[in-house]
Amino acid sequence: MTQQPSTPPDAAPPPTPNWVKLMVLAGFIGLAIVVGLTLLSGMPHGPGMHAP
Amino acid sequence: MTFAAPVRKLVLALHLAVSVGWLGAVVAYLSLDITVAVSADTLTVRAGWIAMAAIVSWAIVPLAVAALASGIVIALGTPWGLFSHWWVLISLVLTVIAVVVLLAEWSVITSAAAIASAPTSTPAEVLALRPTLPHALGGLAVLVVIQWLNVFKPRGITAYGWRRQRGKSW
Repeated sequence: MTQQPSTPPDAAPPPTPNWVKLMVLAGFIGLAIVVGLTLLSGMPHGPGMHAP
Repeated sequence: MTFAAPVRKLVLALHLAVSVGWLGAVVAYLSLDITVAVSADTLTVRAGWIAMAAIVSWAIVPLAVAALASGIVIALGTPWGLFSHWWVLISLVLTVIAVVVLLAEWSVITSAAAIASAPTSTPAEVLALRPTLPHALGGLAVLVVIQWLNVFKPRGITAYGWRRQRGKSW
């Protein structure tokens, strides 16, 4: 008697875990923050924005 | 192909050493980056940039490349695989991004250090050099996330890993 497999051959792959989705979202937010800070720190200073 | 236990432990020890070393070197770099960002003393800023270039060239870049290479080797040499588990795949993607950004930033830092160390550069030119804080802080955050993934190994198998497991069991 052969042992039955636990899942049928046409079973769908497991869904992407929530922590992966959250991490991808956090990655995009972090990337936006780094790009924003880089652009801000590279902006030329206008008159009156310099320290004395 | 999976490594025998002594080889696996040796590669794992090497991977841990260079990965944690990379993290520590970034913290050392960040302390200098903050110094050049807040200091108005030309000599301090000059010294800071020269030291930052040395840390990047002789510690951060070699450790980062070694961490990436040893991580790939240990993933391929253990049942975890490189693309089968989400935590390994995300660690790989984050490490590749960190190394690419680091290599791009490397030339910026060495150029700034060249200006800072030139006797002909004026104090105004030296103080106008832009610190790399967003990249350094972003890099540190990425490395902390990678460490967390490697320690906790959250559950989750990719579609590729699932097919591979089924291929073995069917």
